[in-house]
Amino acid sequence: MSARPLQGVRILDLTQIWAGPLATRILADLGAEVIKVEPPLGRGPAVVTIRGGIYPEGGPGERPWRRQGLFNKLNRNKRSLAIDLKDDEGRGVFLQLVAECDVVIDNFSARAMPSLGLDYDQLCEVNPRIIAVSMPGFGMDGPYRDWVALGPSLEPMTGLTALMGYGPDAPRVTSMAIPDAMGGVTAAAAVLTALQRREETGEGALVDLSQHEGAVAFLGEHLIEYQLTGATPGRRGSRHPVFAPQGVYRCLGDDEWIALSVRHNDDWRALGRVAGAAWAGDARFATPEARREHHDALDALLEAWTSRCEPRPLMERLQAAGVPAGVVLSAPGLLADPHLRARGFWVELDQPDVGPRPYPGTPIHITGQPAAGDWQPAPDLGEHNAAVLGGLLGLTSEEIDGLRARGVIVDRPPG
Amino acid sequence: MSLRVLEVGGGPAAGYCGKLFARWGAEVIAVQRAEPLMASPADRSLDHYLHHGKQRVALDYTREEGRDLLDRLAGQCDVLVTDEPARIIEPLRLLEAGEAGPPAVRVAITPFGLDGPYRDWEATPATLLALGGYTALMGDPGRAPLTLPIRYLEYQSGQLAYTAALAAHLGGRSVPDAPTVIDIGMLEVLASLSQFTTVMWTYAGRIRSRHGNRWENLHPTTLLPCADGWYGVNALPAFWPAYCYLIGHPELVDDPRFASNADRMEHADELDAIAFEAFEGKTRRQLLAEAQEQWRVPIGAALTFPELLEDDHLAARGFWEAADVDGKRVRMPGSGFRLAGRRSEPAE
Repeated sequence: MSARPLQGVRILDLTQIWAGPLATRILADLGAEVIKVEPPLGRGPAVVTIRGGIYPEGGPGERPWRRQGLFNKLNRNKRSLAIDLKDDEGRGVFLQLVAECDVVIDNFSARAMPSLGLDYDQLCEVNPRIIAVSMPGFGMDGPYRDWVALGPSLEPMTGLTALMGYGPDAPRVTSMAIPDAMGGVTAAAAVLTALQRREETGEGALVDLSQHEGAVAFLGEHLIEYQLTGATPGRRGSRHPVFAPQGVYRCLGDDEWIALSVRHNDDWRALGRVAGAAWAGDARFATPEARREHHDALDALLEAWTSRCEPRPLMERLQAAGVPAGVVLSAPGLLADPHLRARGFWVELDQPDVGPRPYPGTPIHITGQPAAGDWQPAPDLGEHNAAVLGGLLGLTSEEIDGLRARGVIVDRPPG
Repeated sequence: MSLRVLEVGGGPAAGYCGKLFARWGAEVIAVQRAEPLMASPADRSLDHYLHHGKQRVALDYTREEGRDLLDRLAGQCDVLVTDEPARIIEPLRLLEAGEAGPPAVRVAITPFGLDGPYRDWEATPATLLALGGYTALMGDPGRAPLTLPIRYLEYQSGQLAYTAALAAHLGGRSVPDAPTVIDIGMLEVLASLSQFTTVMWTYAGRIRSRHGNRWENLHPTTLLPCADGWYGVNALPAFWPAYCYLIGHPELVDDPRFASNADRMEHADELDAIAFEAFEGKTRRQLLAEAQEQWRVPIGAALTFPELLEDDHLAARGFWEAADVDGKRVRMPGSGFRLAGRRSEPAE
């Protein structure tokens, strides 16, 4: 097996929750050595008494910090160094590590790294070639710099809510904190941009990534169109500005649905053949313009038909006729999907304290490289303290024991 | 960056990938099979957003002569990215080294990837979002689920293609004299980026579903009305006491109806009614000021397009890039990130 492309790139990862860990998971999947730098309480206290988190059967258990599903999903292929950066000695050790690394990334608030004495200029003092990525919600300057931002509160600020909903008076949110996923992928792209730039110029960089701006970029063409026409597309349910019909239609069963799109007249004729219904020849629906005009009537007729059909056989019949159609899958259907299984997308990792579970794989398949052949489950808290400090900094076991005794590094949460 | 990139196909996914390369200084040549139709402002807006700063070639590479020209162009480039369907990519050998020499990296972005049972299925973002587990989560219980009204899937795929192409370029060729081929399936992009849809099932045996503007497992995390529009709140347990002060009811901190997140979910209607009463006379700007600057509660206003374009913060950060479209000066979103040196050096 050839080396993964980012082998040799070493990243100090201070990120938490979703967007940041997603970015570094992408980079770790591509071969980067990611050292997750965690505060002693970064995964909560040792004993969890309040329900919360996504735990396997049995709940939090004796070691809840090893059983959190979202954490384990996002932190595979990483190493863990649990160190107190608020402690002078911990900060000193961290700076020694900066000298050995290519990238430092955080998703704290904009004031957090400077308050730790770890702003970009301070990192540059020990490593002028360092790439420092900060990804606060609203970026590192500007009037909202210090605002608290989490995906669900950030989403309306991006303009997406102006487009999302069943109609003009009924805005809806994605309920998925989608700016986090946008920010995470944007951050991975930013790291590669800075690495390529360093390759060409020899210079490190400070990357100022506003998760808000990363998400607004997804609305670019809509914002341009608004300035040209003075009109916003508005909220139109699942309809498409051109494809007609497009929608999500009820199928036979409990809460079963199918999404389908008719892109052009060829799709329309094919749909008509599959449906075998009189409405397929109705003059009201003969052209895309006419179908858009009579979308309500068409939706009612379509759903009267789809609601008598099992979703998956219907999808297969429509696909066989060349019509884009997809059943609305929830988690069990997604895990069982024959295409994703045939592509080997799900990766089973045997997570300590959890047991084997399938996790989403990578969408990036590179020739000659098995997607997940050497993947490792998410690390335990501080699992690699000794390996990182001994291997990279040459600290002796006595020195490492001393750091542990003084509480500078930990291998289980306090409490 | 001193790379030359060949973008083949012209769809939004390859277009966004190429846009990122162009934004960061690469020479990008966008090859499309025909001159794009610019029938509407929507077409022109999308075209300008994606292809600003690129060179463009209209070339019918499904014909032999066009294919030869494409091959020669590809041989002069570091990266080729295409979002043509798999059934076009294969016969045209878009991912194979041509006689003019291979670009080091070739990336295919297709709906389902280059193999597997759905390889040649037809797809739109709406059908992929359904298959990818997203549609099931959006909308109201009992009503039809919703799809996403933006090009989320295409742009995320484009960003991942950009990331993977640069990684492969930096990492060097895996096989001498052969391109490194990267296969990105858009359905897998969705499945890989989902939040906790699958782990909630594989860990806890619970199926995530749609809850209107509320959240699966947290409250108050929702979208609510105020005097002049809507606002989103995400008061995780750590923010609960501050939220009580924000809504003017500090006594709720100790109210047993709302003692834990589970309690707050159970009494969500009561809690939202209290918030509604507290905020119905306040504007979004008043709310933002109180929430963010006084109580530090994560609240965001649902901004309209004109409000977004006039937003002080985005203006202060120099986010917008000026462009001329149809003879009109417009503001276009800039990059989601900027690079700078030490404090004395300006950002790019």
